[in-house]
This record gives sequence, structure tokens and C-alpha cells, in this order.
Amino acid sequence: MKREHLSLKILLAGEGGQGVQAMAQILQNAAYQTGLKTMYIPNYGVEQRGGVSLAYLQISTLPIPYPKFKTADILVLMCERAIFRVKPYQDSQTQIINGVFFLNTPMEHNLSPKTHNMLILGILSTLLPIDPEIIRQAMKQRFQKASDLILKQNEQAFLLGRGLGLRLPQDAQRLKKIPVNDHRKWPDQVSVSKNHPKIIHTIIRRYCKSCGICILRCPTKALHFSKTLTGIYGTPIVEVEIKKCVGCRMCESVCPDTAISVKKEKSLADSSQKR
Amino acid sequence: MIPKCYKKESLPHLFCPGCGYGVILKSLGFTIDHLKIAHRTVLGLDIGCALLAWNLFDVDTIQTHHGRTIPVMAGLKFAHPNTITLALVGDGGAYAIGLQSLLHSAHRNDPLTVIVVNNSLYAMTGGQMAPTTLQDEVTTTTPLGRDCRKTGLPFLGPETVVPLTNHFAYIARVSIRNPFVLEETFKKAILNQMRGQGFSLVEVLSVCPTNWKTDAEKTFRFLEEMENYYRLGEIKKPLEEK
Repeated sequence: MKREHLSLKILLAGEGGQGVQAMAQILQNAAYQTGLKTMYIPNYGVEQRGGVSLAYLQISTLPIPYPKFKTADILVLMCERAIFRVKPYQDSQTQIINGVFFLNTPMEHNLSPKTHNMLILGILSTLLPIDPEIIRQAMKQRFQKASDLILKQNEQAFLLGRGLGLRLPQDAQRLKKIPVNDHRKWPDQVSVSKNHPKIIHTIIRRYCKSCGICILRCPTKALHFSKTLTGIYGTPIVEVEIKKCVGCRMCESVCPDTAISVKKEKSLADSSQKR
Repeated sequence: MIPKCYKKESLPHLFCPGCGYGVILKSLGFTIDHLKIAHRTVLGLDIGCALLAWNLFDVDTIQTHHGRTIPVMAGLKFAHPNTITLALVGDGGAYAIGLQSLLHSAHRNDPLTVIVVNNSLYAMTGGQMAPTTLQDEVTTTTPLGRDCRKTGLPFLGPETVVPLTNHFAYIARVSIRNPFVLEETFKKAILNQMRGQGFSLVEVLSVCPTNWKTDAEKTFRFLEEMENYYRLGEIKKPLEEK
């Protein structure tokens, strides 16, 4: 039986700063211009940076009584960390768009990594009864203060996402699978020096927020940002060049996130040999 | 290294990358560890960024409204004299909205420890001008820099409190640049309370890279500017009892 009323509950979840709220605002504007009833409410923590950011968006032909909901019809994931937060919102009917798979797609097409949200918006738009042209107009309105290049890149990403979204049924199985990369199980980065006395330098990867204070304060410039590993906020963590480390424990004392610990190992046998 | 009185489940904590609170709370944690007072400490958190520490410590915690942390902790101290009461307040809570609480507490010589975190603006609400904002500092509400001819000079909290206190008070100002000095100062302030002598106030010059919009290097350069205006050191030492 065909449903008479359209009522879509969409939950967008991502990292603060990824543009989750911008996506929801664009869709809300487009749905309103189409003549549908729509309601949107943002939800994020008190953190100014790096918290999980949620956007509750409802699109309906009937008046909407309450902005929040308990189960979503469409769940959009933008980062791994949000998965734990939004798990209670899904049931067997929920359609999941897993944006984590597409994190590298903009770069593969020579687009800025920041256009990731517009790519996902393109995929999402294929599931909605809204004309894509109206969404593009809403996008232009949202980014009217931005430069032409950014707007152009965003439009390209949107069209790319729309193309990907139309091919969605074949990829549906892949999209529904949620990868779980539990940051609580990330191993610590331990480096041990060969010289005597042994210095054991540990960086707890899941605590590092890449503020760079340890790099600034290190007297021997032994620390640098990693090129491969990222921390809890998706920013590069600090790595140590253990050859340069003298074990002064400056980085340990200035780290605001208690992510670094330095131990100097001096066994009794070694100290007696020296004498 | 992680202080023993931290709750490991709540790490990584909720503060922004590079936030000064991380160092302050770590030093406070080490002080609590060192004095072995975790079982009888009550930490009062003011509204503002301070409240993000609500689940960080494995000690009893109360969160109250602007600057009211100080009278709440004073009341707790009167009811249970055996507890160690620490009030962690921001500069807005202590020097603007809740200044009367701070002044009267110092005047009564309540035996409690107040830690004021001065980061020169209202950080949680998006970086508005506070009484402690430096001259010509750009904030959200002073886009051309603070004009001290109109808004007065940056507020010197500890110096204002000093004339009200008696000779048992301990008042100091430190900066987060040196965590060891920070730890030592906290220790002195808490020991002053434990001796039952009187009021202790520690102002900590902190950093806010998010609202200053600075990287690590510029953050510490700005902290230096703050240290030039706000003189560091022990402003008032308690008289030794004989």
C-alpha cells in the first residue's frame, strides 16, 4: 500500500566542524521551498571543538509536533566516533548512509576534503522527494559569503555524491555495514631508546588532541607530528624521535591531556657497573 | 603520567586541544595524590569551562552557578570541617558576576581554597570581553581591541582581595607555563586550609587557544604578555603560628 503521508526522520551525525549542521540547514531550506513541513534542531555538547555533533531533521507533509525523535528513518554517519552515539536511534527499517567510506572520495576527484559533507548531501538527496535543483539553490544561498572556488567545489561534490547515490542499490550492502574502530582499543605508541640509560617514551594515542605544546616545549626538538596516525579528533598525533630524546620529561609535564609518559630505566646492575 | 585521582574512564577529557585547564587539573590531581586527601576532598566547579571537569576526578564534585561556588564550599566547610574544599572558578565567575562572593569569603576568612583560572575572556560562550581582558586584546565583543579609557584597566583580582584579608590568608598568582610551580603553589594553598588557618586564593594565568585563535607558539607568546601585566608570585604569605 502506498503511504499517503510522507514523514521522514533524518539524523545526521558527525564530528564538530565537518559541516553537519550546514547540511541539515540546506536540506531544511530546500524542503521548505518545496512546500513541505520541516523541522530541524541541532544537538552538540559544550565543547567548542571536536565533540560529536548531531542534527535532527524531519520532513513531512503533516505538521510536526516535536523536533526530536527516537528512531530515525535515515541515519547519516560522518565519522567513526559518532557511531556509538547514534546506535540507539536505529531499528530494522533504518537506512544507513555511511559517510566514513567516502572520506577519501573528494581527494580522489581533486576536491577539497572539506567538501565531504556536500558529497554525502548528494547521496542523501537521492533518497528524498526534493528536486536536486532546489537543493543546489539552497546550497548557493547558504554559501553566498564564501568564495566562488569553494561554491564550485561544493557543487561538484554534490553532483558527484548524487551520481554515487543513484548507484546506491548495488552498493547498499556495503553501505549498511558499519565498521567499528573502537578508539578505546587503540594501542599506545611506545618507543624505547637503545642507549644507556634506557628511556621509555609512551604516547597514548587516544588521548592526544594535537595541540602541539609538547613540540614547542621540547628542548631537543625530538617531537614532531605524525604523518600516518591520527588521534581522537582525527588530527595527527605526536611522534618521538627517540634518538634525540634525553628523557627530561618536559613533554610529560606540559601535556594537558596526560597523553605522554616518560620513564628512565636504571637497573641496579647497571649503576653498580658504572661505579 | 596520569594522576591517581583521575577517573580513567572519562579520559580523554572534554577540554579543547591545548586548553590550560588540562595542566591546571593535572597539577591539582598530583597535589591531591601527594597530600593523600582524595577521600575527603570536595571539588566545587563554577559554571563556565570549569564544569567540563565534572567527571574527571574520582572525588566528590558539586557544580553551582556563577561565582556561587565559593559560598557553597564555605557552607560545606562549616557543616563538615574535616573536608578539604576546593573551589575552581573562572575569571568571569570570580571577578565579574560572583565578585561579592569572593570578597565576602575573603573578608570572613573562610578556611577554603579558591582557584581562579584567568584566561582573559569568557571562553565557553565564545570569547567575549571579561574584566581581565588585556588592553588592545581582540575579543568577540571588542573587535578593535579593548579600549581601557572606556572600560577601565584589566582587573587585578588577588590585589583587590589582599586588603580585606587578615594575616592568615595565602594569596598567590601563578601561570601554567611551569607546572611544577603550579603544583607547589596548590600544595601551599591546600596546606593553609588544612592547618585551619584561613582563606587561600590562587589565580592561575591560563590559555585559551580556541578563542584566541592561536597555535601553540602564539599561545605562549600571548601568555607572556599576560604575565607582563599580571605580576606572578606569592602576593601574601600567611604568618607562621608560634
